[in-house]
Amino acid sequence: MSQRQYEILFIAEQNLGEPEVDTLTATVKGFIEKENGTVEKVEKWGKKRLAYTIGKNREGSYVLMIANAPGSAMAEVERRMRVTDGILRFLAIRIDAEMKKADRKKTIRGKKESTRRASVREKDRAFEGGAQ
Amino acid sequence: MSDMETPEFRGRSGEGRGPGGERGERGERKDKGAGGGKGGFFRRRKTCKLCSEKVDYVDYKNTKLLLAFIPERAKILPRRMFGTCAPCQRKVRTAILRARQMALIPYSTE
Repeated sequence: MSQRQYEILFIAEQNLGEPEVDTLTATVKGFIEKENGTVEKVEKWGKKRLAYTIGKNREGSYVLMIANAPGSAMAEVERRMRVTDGILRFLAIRIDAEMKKADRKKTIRGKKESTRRASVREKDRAFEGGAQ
Repeated sequence: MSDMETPEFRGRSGEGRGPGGERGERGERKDKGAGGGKGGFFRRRKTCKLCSEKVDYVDYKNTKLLLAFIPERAKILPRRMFGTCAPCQRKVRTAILRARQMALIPYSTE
Protein backbone atom coordinates (compact mmCIF):
# COMPACT_ATOMS: atom_id res chain seq x y z
CA MET A 1 0.00 0.00 0.00
CA SER A 2 1.29 3.31 -0.88
CA GLN A 3 2.30 5.47 2.01
CA ARG A 4 1.23 9.05 2.08
CA GLN A 5 2.32 11.85 4.30
CA TYR A 6 -0.22 13.40 6.61
CA GLU A 7 -0.18 16.26 9.01
CA ILE A 8 -2.38 15.86 12.06
CA LEU A 9 -3.05 18.72 14.40
CA PHE A 10 -5.25 18.22 17.41
CA ILE A 11 -6.35 20.32 20.34
CA ALA A 12 -6.54 18.78 23.80
CA GLU A 13 -8.93 20.11 26.41
CA GLN A 14 -7.73 22.87 28.67
CA ASN A 15 -8.15 20.96 31.95
CA LEU A 16 -5.62 18.33 30.86
CA GLY A 17 -2.12 18.67 32.26
CA GLU A 18 1.04 18.05 30.34
CA PRO A 19 1.40 14.36 31.30
CA GLU A 20 -2.20 13.74 30.23
CA VAL A 21 -1.57 15.44 26.90
CA ASP A 22 1.48 13.22 26.49
CA THR A 23 -0.56 10.08 27.05
CA LEU A 24 -3.16 11.38 24.59
CA THR A 25 -0.39 11.91 22.04
CA ALA A 26 0.80 8.38 22.68
CA THR A 27 -2.68 6.96 22.09
CA VAL A 28 -3.02 8.83 18.80
CA LYS A 29 0.40 7.57 17.85
CA GLY A 30 -0.86 4.08 18.72
CA PHE A 31 -3.83 4.52 16.34
CA ILE A 32 -1.50 5.36 13.50
CA GLU A 33 0.95 2.57 14.19
CA LYS A 34 -1.84 0.02 14.48
CA GLU A 35 -2.80 0.82 10.88
CA ASN A 36 0.72 0.24 9.54
CA GLY A 37 1.67 3.88 9.71
CA THR A 38 4.72 5.58 11.16
CA VAL A 39 4.97 8.83 13.04
CA GLU A 40 7.76 10.98 11.72
CA LYS A 41 7.60 13.96 13.99
CA VAL A 42 5.68 15.14 17.04
CA GLU A 43 5.63 18.81 17.85
CA LYS A 44 4.06 20.12 21.04
CA TRP A 45 2.93 23.69 20.85
CA GLY A 46 1.80 23.78 24.44
CA LYS A 47 -1.20 25.60 25.77
CA LYS A 48 -2.52 28.31 23.48
CA ARG A 49 -5.45 30.65 23.68
CA LEU A 50 -8.15 29.64 21.24
CA ALA A 51 -9.46 32.23 18.82
CA TYR A 52 -12.97 31.40 20.06
CA THR A 53 -14.35 29.19 22.80
CA ILE A 54 -14.99 25.56 21.94
CA GLY A 55 -17.46 24.11 24.40
CA LYS A 56 -16.25 25.75 27.58
CA ASN A 57 -12.61 25.82 26.62
CA ARG A 58 -10.87 29.14 26.21
CA GLU A 59 -7.48 27.47 25.91
CA GLY A 60 -6.22 24.26 24.42
CA SER A 61 -3.03 22.28 24.07
CA TYR A 62 -2.00 21.91 20.47
CA VAL A 63 -0.08 18.89 19.25
CA LEU A 64 1.17 18.57 15.69
CA MET A 65 2.13 15.23 14.16
CA ILE A 66 3.57 14.31 10.84
CA ALA A 67 2.80 10.74 9.91
CA ASN A 68 3.30 8.39 7.00
CA ALA A 69 0.36 6.09 6.50
CA PRO A 70 -1.76 4.58 3.74
CA GLY A 71 -4.90 6.54 2.88
CA SER A 72 -7.28 3.83 4.01
CA ALA A 73 -5.67 3.85 7.45
CA MET A 74 -6.34 7.52 7.97
CA ALA A 75 -10.09 7.00 7.83
CA GLU A 76 -9.82 4.62 10.78
CA VAL A 77 -7.41 6.92 12.63
CA GLU A 78 -9.83 9.81 12.21
CA ARG A 79 -12.76 7.73 13.39
CA ARG A 80 -10.86 6.69 16.50
CA MET A 81 -9.77 10.26 17.20
CA ARG A 82 -13.34 11.40 16.97
CA VAL A 83 -14.41 9.07 19.77
CA THR A 84 -11.39 9.73 21.97
CA ASP A 85 -12.13 11.79 25.05
CA GLY A 86 -9.99 14.84 25.63
CA ILE A 87 -9.57 15.74 21.96
CA LEU A 88 -11.44 18.94 21.33
CA ARG A 89 -10.82 19.12 17.65
CA PHE A 90 -8.43 17.74 15.09
CA LEU A 91 -7.42 18.29 11.51
CA ALA A 92 -5.70 15.67 9.37
CA ILE A 93 -4.56 16.76 5.96
CA ARG A 94 -2.46 15.12 3.28
CA ILE A 95 0.65 17.17 2.62
CA ASP A 96 2.90 15.11 0.36
CA ALA A 97 1.34 16.33 -2.91
CA GLU A 98 1.43 19.97 -1.84
CA MET A 99 5.01 19.70 -0.64
CA LYS A 100 6.08 18.03 -3.87
CA LYS A 101 4.47 20.85 -5.84
CA ALA A 102 6.19 23.47 -3.71
CA ASP A 103 9.55 21.74 -4.11
CA ARG A 104 9.12 21.52 -7.86
CA LYS A 105 8.30 25.20 -8.04
CA LYS A 106 11.39 25.97 -6.03
CA THR A 107 13.66 23.93 -8.28
CA ILE A 108 12.16 25.44 -11.43
CA ARG A 109 12.71 28.90 -10.04
CA GLY A 110 16.31 27.99 -9.17
CA LYS A 111 16.90 26.79 -12.72
CA LYS A 112 15.35 29.91 -14.21
CA GLU A 113 17.55 32.11 -12.07
CA SER A 114 20.69 30.26 -13.12
CA THR A 115 19.81 30.31 -16.84
CA ARG A 116 19.01 34.00 -16.65
CA ARG A 117 22.35 34.67 -15.07
CA ALA A 118 24.06 32.52 -17.69
CA SER A 119 22.38 34.36 -20.54
CA VAL A 120 23.41 37.69 -19.06
CA ARG A 121 26.95 36.46 -18.78
CA GLU A 122 26.88 35.31 -22.41
CA LYS A 123 25.61 38.68 -23.54
CA ASP A 124 28.35 40.37 -21.57
CA ARG A 125 30.90 38.16 -23.22
CA ALA A 126 29.50 38.87 -26.68
CA PHE A 127 29.57 42.57 -25.95
CA GLU A 128 33.17 42.41 -24.83
CA GLY A 129 34.02 40.35 -27.91
CA GLY A 130 32.44 43.01 -30.13
CA ALA A 131 34.42 45.75 -28.40
CA GLN A 132 37.67 44.01 -29.06
CA MET B 1 -30.55 79.25 -36.92
CA SER B 2 -26.85 79.12 -36.30
CA ASP B 3 -27.15 81.70 -33.51
CA MET B 4 -29.71 79.51 -31.78
CA GLU B 5 -27.51 76.46 -31.93
CA THR B 6 -24.34 77.87 -30.47
CA PRO B 7 -25.57 78.61 -26.92
CA GLU B 8 -27.00 75.12 -26.71
CA PHE B 9 -23.73 73.66 -27.75
CA ARG B 10 -21.85 75.73 -25.18
CA GLY B 11 -24.23 74.60 -22.50
CA ARG B 12 -23.49 70.99 -23.26
CA SER B 13 -19.78 71.45 -23.27
CA GLY B 14 -20.04 73.25 -19.92
CA GLU B 15 -21.81 70.25 -18.44
CA GLY B 16 -19.16 68.04 -19.86
CA ARG B 17 -16.50 69.96 -17.99
CA GLY B 18 -18.15 69.33 -14.63
CA PRO B 19 -17.51 65.58 -14.35
CA GLY B 20 -14.15 66.11 -15.97
CA GLY B 21 -13.16 68.31 -13.06
CA GLU B 22 -14.39 65.77 -10.53
CA ARG B 23 -12.37 63.05 -12.09
CA GLY B 24 -9.18 64.38 -10.61
CA GLU B 25 -10.60 64.29 -7.08
CA ARG B 26 -11.78 60.73 -7.40
CA GLY B 27 -8.42 59.72 -8.71
CA GLU B 28 -6.77 61.10 -5.59
CA ARG B 29 -9.10 59.12 -3.38
CA LYS B 30 -8.09 55.94 -5.22
CA ASP B 31 -4.51 56.50 -4.21
CA LYS B 32 -5.47 56.36 -0.55
CA GLY B 33 -6.48 52.73 -1.10
CA ALA B 34 -10.30 52.98 -1.04
CA GLY B 35 -11.21 50.20 -3.50
CA GLY B 36 -14.42 49.73 -5.44
CA GLY B 37 -16.05 52.44 -7.55
CA LYS B 38 -16.69 52.38 -11.24
CA GLY B 39 -15.05 54.31 -13.97
CA GLY B 40 -12.09 54.24 -16.19
CA PHE B 41 -9.50 56.04 -14.11
CA PHE B 42 -5.96 54.98 -14.04
CA ARG B 43 -5.19 52.77 -11.11
CA ARG B 44 -1.86 51.31 -10.18
CA ARG B 45 -1.93 47.65 -11.00
CA LYS B 46 -1.85 45.49 -7.89
CA THR B 47 0.45 42.54 -8.00
CA CYS B 48 0.05 39.22 -6.28
CA LYS B 49 1.78 39.45 -2.94
CA LEU B 50 2.31 35.73 -2.61
CA CYS B 51 3.79 35.31 -6.07
CA SER B 52 6.19 38.20 -5.68
CA GLU B 53 7.31 37.01 -2.26
CA LYS B 54 7.63 33.47 -3.62
CA VAL B 55 5.46 31.68 -1.10
CA ASP B 56 5.12 28.17 -2.49
CA TYR B 57 3.00 26.61 0.20
CA VAL B 58 0.41 28.61 2.10
CA ASP B 59 0.43 26.99 5.50
CA TYR B 60 -2.68 27.22 7.66
CA LYS B 61 -0.42 27.27 10.72
CA ASN B 62 1.24 30.47 9.57
CA THR B 63 -1.25 32.82 11.19
CA LYS B 64 0.87 35.89 10.66
CA LEU B 65 0.60 35.51 6.90
CA LEU B 66 -3.11 34.71 6.94
CA LEU B 67 -4.03 37.61 9.22
CA ALA B 68 -2.81 39.94 6.50
CA PHE B 69 -5.77 38.76 4.41
CA ILE B 70 -8.44 39.28 7.04
CA PRO B 71 -9.19 42.77 8.29
CA GLU B 72 -10.72 43.54 11.68
CA ARG B 73 -14.07 41.91 10.92
CA ALA B 74 -12.21 38.69 10.16
CA LYS B 75 -13.74 38.35 6.72
CA ILE B 76 -11.62 37.03 3.91
CA LEU B 77 -10.62 39.94 1.71
CA PRO B 78 -11.79 39.63 -1.88
CA ARG B 79 -9.17 39.32 -4.55
CA ARG B 80 -9.88 42.74 -5.99
CA MET B 81 -8.79 44.35 -2.72
CA PHE B 82 -5.52 42.56 -2.48
CA GLY B 83 -4.62 41.79 -6.06
CA THR B 84 -3.78 38.16 -5.37
CA CYS B 85 -3.83 35.92 -8.40
CA ALA B 86 -6.49 33.22 -8.68
CA PRO B 87 -4.37 30.20 -7.65
CA CYS B 88 -2.89 32.11 -4.70
CA GLN B 89 -6.28 33.33 -3.53
CA ARG B 90 -7.54 29.74 -3.60
CA LYS B 91 -4.61 28.61 -1.48
CA VAL B 92 -5.18 31.45 0.97
CA ARG B 93 -8.86 30.61 1.19
CA THR B 94 -8.33 26.95 2.08
CA ALA B 95 -5.62 27.87 4.55
CA ILE B 96 -7.87 30.40 6.28
CA LEU B 97 -10.74 27.91 6.46
CA ARG B 98 -8.44 25.34 8.03
CA ALA B 99 -7.00 27.80 10.50
CA ARG B 100 -10.49 28.86 11.50
CA GLN B 101 -11.50 25.29 12.15
CA MET B 102 -8.53 24.82 14.44
CA ALA B 103 -9.29 28.04 16.35
CA LEU B 104 -6.06 29.67 15.24
CA ILE B 105 -8.00 32.49 13.56
CA PRO B 106 -11.42 33.80 14.60
CA TYR B 107 -14.48 33.23 12.42
CA SER B 108 -15.64 36.71 13.31
CA THR B 109 -14.83 39.36 15.85
CA GLU B 110 -17.36 40.84 18.24
